Amino acid sequence: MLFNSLEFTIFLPIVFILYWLLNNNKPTYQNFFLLIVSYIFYGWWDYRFLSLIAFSSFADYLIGLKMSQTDNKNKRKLLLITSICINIGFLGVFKYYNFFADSFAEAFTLFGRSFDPFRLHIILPVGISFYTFQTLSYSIDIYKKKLAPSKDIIAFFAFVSFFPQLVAGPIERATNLLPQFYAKRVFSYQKAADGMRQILWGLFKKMIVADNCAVFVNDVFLNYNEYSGSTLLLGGVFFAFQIYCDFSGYSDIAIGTSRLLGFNLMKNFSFPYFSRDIAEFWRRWHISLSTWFRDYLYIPLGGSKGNNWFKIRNIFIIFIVSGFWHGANWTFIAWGFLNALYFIPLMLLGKNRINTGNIAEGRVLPNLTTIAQIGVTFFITIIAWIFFRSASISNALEYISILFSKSLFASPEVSSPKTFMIASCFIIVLVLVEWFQRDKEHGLEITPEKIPFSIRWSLYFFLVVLLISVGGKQEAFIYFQF
Amino acid sequence: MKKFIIKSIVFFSLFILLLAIGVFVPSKSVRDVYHQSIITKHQYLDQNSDKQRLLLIGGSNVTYGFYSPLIEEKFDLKVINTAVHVGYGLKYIMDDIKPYIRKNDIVVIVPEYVHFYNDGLYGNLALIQGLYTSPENIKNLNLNQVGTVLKNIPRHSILKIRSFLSSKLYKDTQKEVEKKLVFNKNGDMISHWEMPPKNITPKKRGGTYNPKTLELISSFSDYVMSKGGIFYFSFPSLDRTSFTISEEAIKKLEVEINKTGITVLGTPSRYSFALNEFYDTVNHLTKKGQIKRTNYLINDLETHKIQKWLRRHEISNRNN
Repeated sequence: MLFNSLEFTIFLPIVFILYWLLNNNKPTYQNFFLLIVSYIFYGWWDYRFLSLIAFSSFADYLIGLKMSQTDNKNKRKLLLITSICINIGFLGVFKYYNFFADSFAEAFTLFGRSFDPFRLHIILPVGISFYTFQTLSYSIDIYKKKLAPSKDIIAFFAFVSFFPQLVAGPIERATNLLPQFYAKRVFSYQKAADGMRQILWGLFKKMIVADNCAVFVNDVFLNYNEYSGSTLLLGGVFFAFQIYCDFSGYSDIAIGTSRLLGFNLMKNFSFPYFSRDIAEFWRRWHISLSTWFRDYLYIPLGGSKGNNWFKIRNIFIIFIVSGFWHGANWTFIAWGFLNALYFIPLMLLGKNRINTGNIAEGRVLPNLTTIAQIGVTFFITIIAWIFFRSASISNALEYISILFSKSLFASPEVSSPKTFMIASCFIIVLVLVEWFQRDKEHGLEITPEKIPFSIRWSLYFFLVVLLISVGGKQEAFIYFQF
Repeated sequence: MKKFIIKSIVFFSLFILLLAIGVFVPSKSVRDVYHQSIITKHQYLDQNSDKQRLLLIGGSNVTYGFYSPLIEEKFDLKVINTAVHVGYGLKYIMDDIKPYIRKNDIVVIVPEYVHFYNDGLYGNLALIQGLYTSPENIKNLNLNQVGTVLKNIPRHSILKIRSFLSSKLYKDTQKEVEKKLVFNKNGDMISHWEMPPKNITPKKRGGTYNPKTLELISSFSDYVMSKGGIFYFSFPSLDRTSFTISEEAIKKLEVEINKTGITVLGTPSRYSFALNEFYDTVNHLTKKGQIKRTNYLINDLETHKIQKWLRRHEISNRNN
């Protein structure tokens, strides 16, 4: 079920009303209800993959209990390895098997031999990379004794399958989300109203900006060799906004929906395109994944301790693995590699944590230095996004070589001027709104008392009408494929 | 909680009121006038003709895809281009034409690729506009089509209000709007003939294949044959880039169609034309493209010995 679909528009109010009707001192009924509706939500795509979630949940639930029953280090390690093998095993089979088989066969051709690898004809279960990482964090945290295992099987299953963030995150830590399933939920008007505003803002980002950008982006990336460098540059800029609005829009809807149900999910994006360097960008982009890799991969590898070679190795590992998490394609690995290259100089010069505060704090507009820093960071992320979006590395390299040719100074050509204009106008609106709201949780966070009722409702009404009339064709969220 | 629910109900009631206004507001945009062309096409289908009839059925790829007078001249037939919009969905299109099929009609169906994938068989926003002009078709809708209508009502209402307001603002008259859309006496679109082609973005075809589309085409074919007519299937024209990037899906579709035993005219690759032969989308041909596609159809019909079939029916009609 897509957040931007009629089905979800009907599903959410029904769930909301029934969920709060079940509210009593014990959250068991509400958890059981959440479990059922989450499975319906997921099964709407393909009910067959529900067995995967159920199996993964059951395995980690049992492993968690067994781990807490023993102090034997080797036994605990064995249980952790079992959990890792199950979760990574699912990812390996469904997401990476064909990639490795093809790459292995290609490698053989270098030695003058060729063979047809055995390929699996299976589809990738939606959201597998998200929920497997969530359950993995649960097992690792129990192993590290940061978390007590769940004894409430319903709460645990509901935690793993919690529908707002099941298919595209934020990837929640068990330490943050699971305790919320044990606690009695209290309805808060302010929280629910703000949740609705965040859902509206997420839908604006997804349906107005991302889906309209997609029309131009798809054309440019498909026919890049027929366009000038200036058009390709615009294609890169539009893709940067498309992927940001698509993914952060999903997160906004997920967080807003959770707030309606009395839950707090972690912030996943913090206005990343205002970042002044690439290190700050990575503290603001897909925060739940970046911090997951930091806590469960980078720090166990030694983090920034040790000599420079050691640090460089760790940076490459974390960025390349992060790229590979996105998909079984060399383009994602190249994207991760490029980001590591951007990051390493900052780390070696000790400048990776100089921009940690608010951007242009206390000022309406940024100064020239900040503008230049934001501009340069945005530009280098676009170059990396070209690899992310291209079908192959050779396509990406060709795209970049045309981008930097003389035609960069030619006037850009646009195949769908109307959609292009709509997307351009709303990118400007988005940037302005987000700039002035940059110290808030989301673009529509307001203090209701400060804005008259009529203006607030007119704004909401206008946004809903806009979603229906200007919203692009219903596209699935990009991150579903990861 | 109570306050939140009351406010939500008030907000959405106001919104539903706006949508209701949109459903009933009069509108006369180019889009509306284009959809109303089906009324004229129904009149053509109702008219008596002393000649054998050839009906072209499909979406706007057919409206913008053929120049029927060339077919009439070649085979001495009455040709009616019945097509209006791909967004009606192929089920609706066939249901709409079915009552007009007569004995010995030659039917050439040219569905668009989208009709074979996902929910393309059941249409989109345009289905509502089709129902405005032909409300009697409501009785033929199945559950999937009702779902399509419900899903698209909000967008339809808002677009209607928008076009109503813009017609008030720019004082468009019905005649000015109609001037932008000119069909010939067969129902082929010709108003774009002297206009320069627009920039077109090639599009990949494909998606989740829906076997139901071919089932419905087969039963429609049986219906035409039961009336003593002849039924042909043909592929839509597509620009070469779209064709190349969609080739895998199209080839699979071609295999499925050939399995049905329906007579297929030509191949998908035969109708992949240069991009400059398309007018404003990868489905709408320019004048040059329309004439080229029509000549291909004539050749394909000759290959399938249409003249022989016509002569045989002429004799049997005379004997009757």
